[in-house]
Amino acid sequence: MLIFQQLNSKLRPAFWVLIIFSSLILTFCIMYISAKYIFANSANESRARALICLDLQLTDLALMSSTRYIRHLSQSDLHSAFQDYPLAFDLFPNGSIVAPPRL
Amino acid sequence: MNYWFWRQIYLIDFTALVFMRQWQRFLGLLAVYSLLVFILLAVFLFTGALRKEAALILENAPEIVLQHLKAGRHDLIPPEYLDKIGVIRGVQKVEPRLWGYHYDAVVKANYTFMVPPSTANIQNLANNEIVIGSALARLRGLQIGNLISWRGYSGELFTFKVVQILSPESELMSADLVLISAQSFRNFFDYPENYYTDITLSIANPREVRNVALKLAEIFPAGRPILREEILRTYSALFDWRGGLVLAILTTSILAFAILAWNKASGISVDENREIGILKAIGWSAGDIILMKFWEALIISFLAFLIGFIGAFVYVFILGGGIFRSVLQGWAVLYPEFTLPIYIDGGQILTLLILLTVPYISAILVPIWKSAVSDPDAVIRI
Repeated sequence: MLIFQQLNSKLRPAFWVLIIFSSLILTFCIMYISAKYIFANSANESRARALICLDLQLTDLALMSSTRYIRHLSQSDLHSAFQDYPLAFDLFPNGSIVAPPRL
Repeated sequence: MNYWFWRQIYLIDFTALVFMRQWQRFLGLLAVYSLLVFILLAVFLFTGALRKEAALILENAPEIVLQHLKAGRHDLIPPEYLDKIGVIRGVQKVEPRLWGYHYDAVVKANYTFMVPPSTANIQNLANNEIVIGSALARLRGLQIGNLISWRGYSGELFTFKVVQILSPESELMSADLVLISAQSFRNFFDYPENYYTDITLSIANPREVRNVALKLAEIFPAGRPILREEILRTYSALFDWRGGLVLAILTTSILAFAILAWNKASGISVDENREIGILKAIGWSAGDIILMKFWEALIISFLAFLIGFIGAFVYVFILGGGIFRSVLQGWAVLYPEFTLPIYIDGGQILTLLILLTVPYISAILVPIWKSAVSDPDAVIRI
């Protein structure tokens, strides 16, 4: 406490460095804790997605629906995103952001 | 302890005064450094959250999906499959599924037509009734009670009535879904009777999943069992790959920063050399100078990390991730709208903190150490 008073009374530059860092670290901690414990548990959307996945026995996310093999990535034939061979370029843009199959 | 503490405070005082004197240099470096941290962390936060969300959702996916292959391609499940599966021990439930794709030429989008499983909450759909995903409803401007027509595979025009729209919260899973009755599905796609798209299996004991899959492969040489863990692995690999892809594109900017940092840090200017010489001449030891520069590097790098992290967090989770979204999420005509759940991997953040700050601090300290141990007279005269 005494140290804080000494720092504060003289308004040293180090005091301002300390203030800036403390406020940023505090913001960082609040965001981290809120992300970890508050928002993570109250995600209604996550629950709704998990429920529909269980209810309809879905296997894939509906992120991309440009082609059948990209829409159901986990159910497609092994080389289907790379129609001719594992590193073949795809006609559709989404095929280019899917990893080639492991050989 | 007291002496040590006040020594550090005086050094930080001095460093802060240097920053205030050279505020343009300090702010420029801080802005570029923070921007780099922001870009890297935004990519990691976005892919991390998407990967985590996919893993949480797909934990509920079927334990085993059995497909039938013909000439290396997915084919319809013949009727005899269902009779043969019944004899495998450990299989709790067998559910043949009917699903497929339909291309809507009006909006140039693909839909997934599906018959809800027998256990689903959506039941008793009449032959002209459908339940649709909310992205599809948005795209076609449909509401409950509206009619929509599509040309079936036999050339006949089918008209369906929308009886329900799936919740927008589940859009990530159901954006393009059209739930339809089994009879309508067969009529629409001209699907042969007693044939199915694939079969899902529930296994009583989770440890038995692999054994059941082996038995399936034995009984059905043309079958392809897909396990839930494979589905989970596919999505984990997808987001790893995408994050890597964005980072690969960003490599040039990372390198540009590395060159800038190295240039700023290692190429000690004449002014800095003179400053070090004067400090040594008025009695500072080499240790004091190195410690002062250490505080300078530490303050800049940690400040940049904190600013970059807070910026990335706000950008990804509050503003929605804008520019990264289309690359990391994928693109389509039928675009699911969804908010990303907030998820941060502490270990990953710590690794990034070390990777982004330690090289910078060392890049500053090494040349300073070289300069600080040399003779003040020689340093000032350069």
